[in-house]
Amino acid sequence: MTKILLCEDDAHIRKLIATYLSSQGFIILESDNGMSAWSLFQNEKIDLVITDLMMPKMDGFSLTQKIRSSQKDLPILILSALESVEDKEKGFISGTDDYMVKPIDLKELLMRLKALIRRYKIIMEDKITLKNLLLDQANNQCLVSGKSIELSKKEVQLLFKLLSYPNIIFTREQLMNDIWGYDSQSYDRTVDTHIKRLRDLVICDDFEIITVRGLGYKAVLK
Amino acid sequence: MNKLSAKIIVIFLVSLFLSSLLPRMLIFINNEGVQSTIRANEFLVGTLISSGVALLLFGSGINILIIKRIMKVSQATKKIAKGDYEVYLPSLGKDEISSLISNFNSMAQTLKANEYLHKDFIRNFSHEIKTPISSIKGYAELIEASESNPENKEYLRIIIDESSRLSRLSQSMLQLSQIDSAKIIKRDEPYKVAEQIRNIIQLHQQDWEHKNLEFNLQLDEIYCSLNKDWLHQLWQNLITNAIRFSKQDGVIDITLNEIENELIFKITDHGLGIADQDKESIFKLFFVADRSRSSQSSGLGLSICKTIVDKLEGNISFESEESFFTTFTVSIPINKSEII
Repeated sequence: MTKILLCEDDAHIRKLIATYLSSQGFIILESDNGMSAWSLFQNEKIDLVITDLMMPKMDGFSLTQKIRSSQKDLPILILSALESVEDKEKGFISGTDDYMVKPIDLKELLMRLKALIRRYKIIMEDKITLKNLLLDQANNQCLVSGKSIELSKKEVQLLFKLLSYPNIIFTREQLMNDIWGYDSQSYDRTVDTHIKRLRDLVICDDFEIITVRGLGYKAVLK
Repeated sequence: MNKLSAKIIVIFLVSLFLSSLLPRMLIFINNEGVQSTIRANEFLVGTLISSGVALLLFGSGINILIIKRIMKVSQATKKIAKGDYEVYLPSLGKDEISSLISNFNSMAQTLKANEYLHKDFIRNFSHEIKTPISSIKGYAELIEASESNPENKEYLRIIIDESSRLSRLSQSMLQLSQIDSAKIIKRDEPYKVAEQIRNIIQLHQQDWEHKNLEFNLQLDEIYCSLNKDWLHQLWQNLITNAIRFSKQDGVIDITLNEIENELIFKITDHGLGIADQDKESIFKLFFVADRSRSSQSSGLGLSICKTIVDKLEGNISFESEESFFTTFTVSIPINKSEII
């Protein structure tokens, strides 16, 4: 059962989320400030953290930073009334994986949590397994229907990224930043070239890489 | 010394004195008497050299005393214009420029304090008003999930929708007040506007994919350092409007160019269009063109756009034909020299 650490200083909202998520099968550990959340985190085996930003004793940004530096892949979701681009950026820089603005849709929260958990499992195993595809990022392996396909490390990472977030569009700049680690220029065709190679080499019925005109690419599962 | 003029006089006298040393030394060394010394060519050269030295001394004195200090204040002023109030200039002495510097420091501190006050207020208010709204909406959703009576379910749905609407309204009002009251427009590190626009489209992927919309993007790779938050808000409001008013399977065209130091953003949707009788009022606060959509729209989106564009000294205009298309054009001056 997935253990979620919920850090929210408003008692009603905390109760609301705890009640809802418990009814969905999660174990919820509650805390009403950043410091007690951090102690709880250190003493229990937590699978996912949901935190507010404006809290006494230690705010959500600091809590996120601490958690992120202690466990680099643990899913964190920020739940806050603060909507500005500045706060969102600060949240993501602190290390959150997702950011929802209050008031939230409980069903949407559930969907996003499930997506985060699914992705965490993928990251933990470093593998993506579809009907005919096995993509092993740690060992740089790609198997389609049992046959091994020779791909460069970056190509594996690129495919892994797209398949980890099915249906989500990524821009070329985001992919360059994530996988190659630097800002690209507009004339840089690196991403396009690698996508072409993936399309030519990885012929598999389980997914398709789609070009979204003007925006970027996404992987769609079939 | 308390007066700049006194300091200038002192530097002048010192320079004069030092510069007279060379000719005096020449006269002293030369045994042939003062008159012959003066007539000699070496004396002329010596005098010219010492005049040059005097000017140099005087010039550097003035440079250090006045020009450098004023340059420092000038640079600090640029920082303040960018919205960076973390400036503090060390002030030495008690003359008029020291006075200027210490007044400048007080000004920076006051601006900083005011900014915190206002920012803090907005953030706190946002948090304080959204928290109870979240509770109302959340508990209504909890009950709705287990409610079997269809009438009650409908009433709960209404509570949920209205609380969402209230939340959006309060957020928009806060944004509008924040932008409206900004006296100094914060600038950011140069960033790619095209990528900012693409990110906004990604953010709303669910909404436009739901309507099976396509984007036709022609975005030049332009860097600018205008307030990132504001431009994000501006593009977002225009893009979400285009999405909302597009028909199923439609196309939205967006172009971004830089022409003669102006950023030109154009967005066209081929949807409902704006009725002639509404055209005059669309930028007005709380105006919603389509009455049936008032539950979705706060009517503030375009007011916020206009406020932002006005603050950035730009222009926003539109063209529309009912049931056919709507095009919004935004032009904002971007002064290249300020990016460096």
